[in-house]
Amino acid sequence: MKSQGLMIAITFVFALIIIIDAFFAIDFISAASTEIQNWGTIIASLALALAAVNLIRIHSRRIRLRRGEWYNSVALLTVMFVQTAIGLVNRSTGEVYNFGFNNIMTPLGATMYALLAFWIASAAYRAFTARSIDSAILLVAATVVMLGNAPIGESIWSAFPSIKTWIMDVPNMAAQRGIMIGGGIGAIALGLRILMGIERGHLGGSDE
Amino acid sequence: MIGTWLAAIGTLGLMSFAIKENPFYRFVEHVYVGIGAAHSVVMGWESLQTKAFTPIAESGDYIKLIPLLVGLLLYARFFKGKIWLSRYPMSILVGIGVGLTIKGTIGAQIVNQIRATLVPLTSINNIIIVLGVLSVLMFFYFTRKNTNALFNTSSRIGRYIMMIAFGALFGNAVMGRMSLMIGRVQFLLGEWLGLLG
Repeated sequence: MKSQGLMIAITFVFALIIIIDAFFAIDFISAASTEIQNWGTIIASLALALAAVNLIRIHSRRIRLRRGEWYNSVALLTVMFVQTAIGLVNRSTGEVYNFGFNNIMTPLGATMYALLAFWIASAAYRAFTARSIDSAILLVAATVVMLGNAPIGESIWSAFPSIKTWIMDVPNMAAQRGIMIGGGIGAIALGLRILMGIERGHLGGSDE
Repeated sequence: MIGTWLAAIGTLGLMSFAIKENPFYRFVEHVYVGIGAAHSVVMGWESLQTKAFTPIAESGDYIKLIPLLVGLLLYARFFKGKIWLSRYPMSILVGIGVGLTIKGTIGAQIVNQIRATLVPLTSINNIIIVLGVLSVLMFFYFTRKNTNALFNTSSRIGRYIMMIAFGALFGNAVMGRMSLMIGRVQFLLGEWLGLLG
C-alpha cells in the first residue's frame, strides 16, 4: 500500500501515544509508549547498517570501475569489514576491537575536530572586522571569552576571567534562553505540521 | 607501540590537510570513514541484541519481531519500484521522533526556561536576564511587520544580546578546538616521539 495517508496515520498514532504518556498517567498508554520507544531503537539500529550498505555499494562500484583513487575505497572497505568482523565476534568491549577503536578511530576523530581550529582561525580573521555594531559586539565578546579562557588572558589583565564568567552567565544565558524558547516553539510547530500531514518530506514529498 | 605508530601516522595524515589536500590525507580520511562505519554497525548490532534478539530468545517477547521486520523494510530503497516500502519504517521513526520532541521540548525548552527566567528584579544581572530573554523573543517575532518604535528597539537589543552570545560561543569553540589541537601535538611530541619530559 503506497498510501501516504496510512503512513501519516502511523506517524500520528506513534507520536500521539508518546505525547499522551508525557501528560497523563495511563498504565496501558505508558506501557505502549515504552514499547514503541524500544521499537524506535530497533528500527534505528537497523538504519545504522543502512549507511554501511550504502558505503559498500558506492565503494565497491568505484573499485569495479577502477574510478578515481579506487585504492582508497579498497582501504575503506577492508578496514570496515575487518573491524566489523572483529566487533561481531569480539564485541565492542573486546581487547582486539578496542585496539582499532583507541588507536585509529579516537585519535583520527580528535584530529578531525582539531583541524577545525585552522578553519575557525581563518573564519575569525574574516569575521573579526568591526564593520558594524553587530560584528563589533561579536568581536569584543569572543575576544574577552578567549582571553578569559586562556592563562595568557589572566596574565594581561586579572579581570578577564571574571568578565568572561559574567558574559557566559548573564547575556549569553539570556540569549540562549530566548533562542531555546523560540526554537522550542518552532520545533513544536514543525511537529504539529508533520502530525497533520502538512510536512511530508520524509514520505517522499507531497506530489507522490 | 604499534598502536601509537598507527595513531601518529593517522594524525599526521589528517594534519597534512592544513598545508594542502593530498593523497595521504585522502587515504587516512577513507580509513577513518571505514572504521567509523564499522563502529556504527557494531553498535547497531549490539543494540539489536539487547533490545530485540535477547528478549525474543530468552523471554519469548515475539512482539519485537514487528520492529525487526519493519526495520528491514528500510533496505527496500535498494530495490527499484519498492522504495515506497522503506517509508513505513521512516514514518514510525518520524512519529516517535515527533512525540519525543514535543514531550521533551515543552518541559525542557519552554516551561523550564520560562521558570528559570522568572527571577526577582533585585539585581542588575537579573534585570539583564529578564529583559534579554524578552528582547530576544521579540527578535523572533516574524508573524507580521511591526512599525512600533518600542518593539523595534527591543528587537534590536535582542539582536545585540544574541551577538554577545554568538561571540561567546565562537570564543569557546575556538578554545575547544585549540585544546584538541594541543592534545594532538602533545601526543605526537610526547607519546610518539618522546620529546616531552
